[in-house]
Amino acid sequence: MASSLQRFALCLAIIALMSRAAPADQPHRFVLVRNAKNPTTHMSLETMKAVYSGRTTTWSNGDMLVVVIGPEDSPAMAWLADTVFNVSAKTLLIRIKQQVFRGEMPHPITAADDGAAIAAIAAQPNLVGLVSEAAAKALPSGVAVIASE
Amino acid sequence: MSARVGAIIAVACMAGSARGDTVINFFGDVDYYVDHHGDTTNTFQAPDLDIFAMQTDGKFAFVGELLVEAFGQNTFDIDADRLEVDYKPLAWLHFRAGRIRSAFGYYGDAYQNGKFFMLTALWPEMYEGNGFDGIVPSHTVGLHADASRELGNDVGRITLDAEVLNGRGPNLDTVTVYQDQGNHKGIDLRARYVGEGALDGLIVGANMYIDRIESDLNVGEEHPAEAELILGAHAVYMGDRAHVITEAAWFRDRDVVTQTLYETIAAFGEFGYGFGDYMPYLRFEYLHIGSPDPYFVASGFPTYDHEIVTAGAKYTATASVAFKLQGSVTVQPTMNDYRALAQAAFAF
Repeated sequence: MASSLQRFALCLAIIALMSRAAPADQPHRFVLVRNAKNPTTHMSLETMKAVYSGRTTTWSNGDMLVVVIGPEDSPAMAWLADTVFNVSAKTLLIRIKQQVFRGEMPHPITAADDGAAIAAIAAQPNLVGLVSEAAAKALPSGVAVIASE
Repeated sequence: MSARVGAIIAVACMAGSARGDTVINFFGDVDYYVDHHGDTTNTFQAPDLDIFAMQTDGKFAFVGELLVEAFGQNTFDIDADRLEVDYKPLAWLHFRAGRIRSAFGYYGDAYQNGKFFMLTALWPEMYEGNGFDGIVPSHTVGLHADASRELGNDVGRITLDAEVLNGRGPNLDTVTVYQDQGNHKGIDLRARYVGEGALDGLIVGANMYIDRIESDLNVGEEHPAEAELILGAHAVYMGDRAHVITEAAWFRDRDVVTQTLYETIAAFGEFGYGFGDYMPYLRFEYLHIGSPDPYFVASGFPTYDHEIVTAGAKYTATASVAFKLQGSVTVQPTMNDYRALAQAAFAF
């Protein structure tokens, strides 16, 4: 029962987030977010690159690190590919797929948008993902920002 | 808005059970060949369907890969190409057990069975030929451990792979998944430098593989027991636009009774340069047979020196579909062999 209420509250928070989405003509910026139970509060750009390329696959406690990614045409994926890797979203997605197929990287979870990414991360402590700065300003209590260094 | 909200609610409601979900991927290719041998000089092929699944739990992961394959025949066989349990106790230490791709060279465990990821339409012959398996011991069963050490200052890292394996089967096609041929085990060691920073994309590595091949007395497949030593080296650069893979391996198999030595050298270089979604490529392969190895011969591997030159282009249409067009010539002692191939490769 408590779990259902939590999920209902989470859904309400996400709906509220969606109504505050940035206007389309504003450039999107994205921040890393984590499950609030995860103690990692900072991450360098190099570490972020290592995480999304499958070179770093564990958290400091040893648990498997699983990334949440957007679809190929999502703003989050475009931002990640362009800003962190300097490649197209298609190229980055293929690299991730290949690392997964090699068995070197846990299968990522695909989230259609900020709300879906937040919901997934709230449910699993070992996930990390990108959400827009606008969404990061109103995160539910189970999700927190990872500051970039 | 309502559709988005519906999707969010659906995801939120499913999120609690997401941990138990297993994502299944499908890989495969559809080909069209033209050559000048036999009665049929052109044909369509739909030879592979690869079903891949991975599940993680804490420090453990399971990888399963089923290959439905028509390999040199018109009927499909089902093969568990990978069946492995992974354990990663530390960020720099990784163990695998089960049926795995051996850590020999670069191509085998870089691409697994994903032709979509490969630049060329076909494997280098040392890994897989036209209807026969390659001479690199890439499919195996056993234990794998790898460790890496950062060199610091964004210089790169050194990685070491060590494997204890059932080793070679009675022929190149057979993987000893249920029972080894004998009590000797194969040992595979690989050391690599993996570049970072300014050298990101560079991999330089070397291998040593030691095995004992048991004799086979089946008519038509006879070969003596052999002690095998393979030394290999590879240098790879995968940049944003440039693609370079070079590999070489020296196979020395010794008849354990007569002490006769059989030596084989296989090497290839593969080069590509990207223009947007298009990447033209060129590959040169070299095979030198010092003296034909009965074990390789019994499995249908060529017994003569030859070179293969392949030129083509890959068009990556989406993150899941790629098209390739290539032509190749095999330069051999008798008549040269020409072949053209169009391929649609997918990874969903």
